[in-house]
Amino acid sequence: MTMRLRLQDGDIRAMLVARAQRAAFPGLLADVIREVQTNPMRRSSIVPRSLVAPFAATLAAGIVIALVALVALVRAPQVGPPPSPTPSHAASPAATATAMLGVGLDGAPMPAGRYHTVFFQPPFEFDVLANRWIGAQDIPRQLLLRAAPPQGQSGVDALTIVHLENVYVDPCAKGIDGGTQPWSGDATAFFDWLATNAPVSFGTPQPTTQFGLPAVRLEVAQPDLSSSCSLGYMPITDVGRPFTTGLPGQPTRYVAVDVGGQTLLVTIWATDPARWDEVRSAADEVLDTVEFSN
Amino acid sequence: MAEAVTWTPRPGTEMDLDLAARARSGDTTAFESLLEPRMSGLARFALAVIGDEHDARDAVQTACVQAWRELPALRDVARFDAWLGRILANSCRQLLRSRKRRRVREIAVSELEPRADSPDMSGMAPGPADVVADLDALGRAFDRLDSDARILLVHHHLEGLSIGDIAARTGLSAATVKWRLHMARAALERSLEAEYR
Repeated sequence: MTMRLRLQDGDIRAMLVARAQRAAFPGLLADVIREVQTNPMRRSSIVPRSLVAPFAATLAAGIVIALVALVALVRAPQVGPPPSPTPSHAASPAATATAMLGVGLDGAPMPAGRYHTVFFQPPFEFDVLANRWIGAQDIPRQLLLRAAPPQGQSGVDALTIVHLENVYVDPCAKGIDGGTQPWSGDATAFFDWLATNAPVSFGTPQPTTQFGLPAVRLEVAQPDLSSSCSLGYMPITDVGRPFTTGLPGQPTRYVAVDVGGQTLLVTIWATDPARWDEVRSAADEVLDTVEFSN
Repeated sequence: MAEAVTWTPRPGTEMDLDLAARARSGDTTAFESLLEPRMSGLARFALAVIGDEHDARDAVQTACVQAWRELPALRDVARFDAWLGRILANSCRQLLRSRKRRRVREIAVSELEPRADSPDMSGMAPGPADVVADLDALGRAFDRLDSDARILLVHHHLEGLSIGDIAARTGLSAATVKWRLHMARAALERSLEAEYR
């Protein structure tokens, strides 16, 4: 080849038109419809984003009150007697903790009991109810519990705790190709960083408590970033299942909390908004029993 | 000049709104009717971005099924086309991402900064035989771009969308679209140069 075109708009267009003209996909629509007929729609229970913020505080307050009452009811009879071997109840905090084994997302649900992390730093113990959670991952910087999926559900609902060490420099525009920088701030600063780096407003984080410590909480219906973020999602931290902006409308709760000089990010999400209340309540049952070793 | 390629044949028409509303309520026949006039445009978009017919077909099918599953969450059915377009673009990204692992190394826009020794191509006039060859080279150069750059170039040069239209489609600001489009084009030029080294 001895000569080339000066690159002009018409060249780009001609090349793209030539590529597009090969698009003849016979039977594609029929294939789509066949697949559609075996794929149920997601239930539409998404709260409009504009309504999320006003109701979030009220909802959270109600849940906190309900949880406090529930915890009081559940724990009161457990004072004194040894831990119940009944699989439908969590072991008491005094029980000997079992080492958690990371079994992957599709592992068997954990039996009821008290567990301790093996690799996660800082280490901690926690209770689970029977058949509620799958101990998916325990690595130094992430604990991931997948909510045991109902029959037929393929989405991953989860509770994860991540030790913040690095965050992406440009999480939306470049994603995982943007490089990371060490995280040096505290819990509040993390949400300030998010507000600066996210392409949309996630709203104002609210003060809360986590593990009995002051914390900052953000609860959102995920915005649609599918076309504005690299790879269709926005990884924030460089570890674990990224704290993605999953499907538009997907409910997610982020809580940042400083434990022993480290910032931990606790995230709960449900792929099906209809399961959000159930997943969040179950996650809070676990989180309320967390005790750090030091 | 070929006519503008678009997969939005009748944007916001009453019939489409009705179909979209019925489809959203779970009517697969309405969904099929909604998709039918759009399939050709969807396929052309995906093929232009991805370049491989098999992968493009997969991307369209995945996007359509995802659209069906998520349709109840679409609050404003008048925005169905823009919404479907975002899903398709995302599907193309995912496809390219998986393909990236098994094939070519893409060139990110940021890697393609202008070089001082870049040859000046402006004075070269092509002969007839060079046109085909150069379009092939341009296609190969395009295939080395990252997915975001490809999608922007397809929006602008194939679909004929203006900066404002792309901004509305993607949710980016017009200034950001303009800048990224500029960078994507620069990346394409640099990638094309690499074809001749």
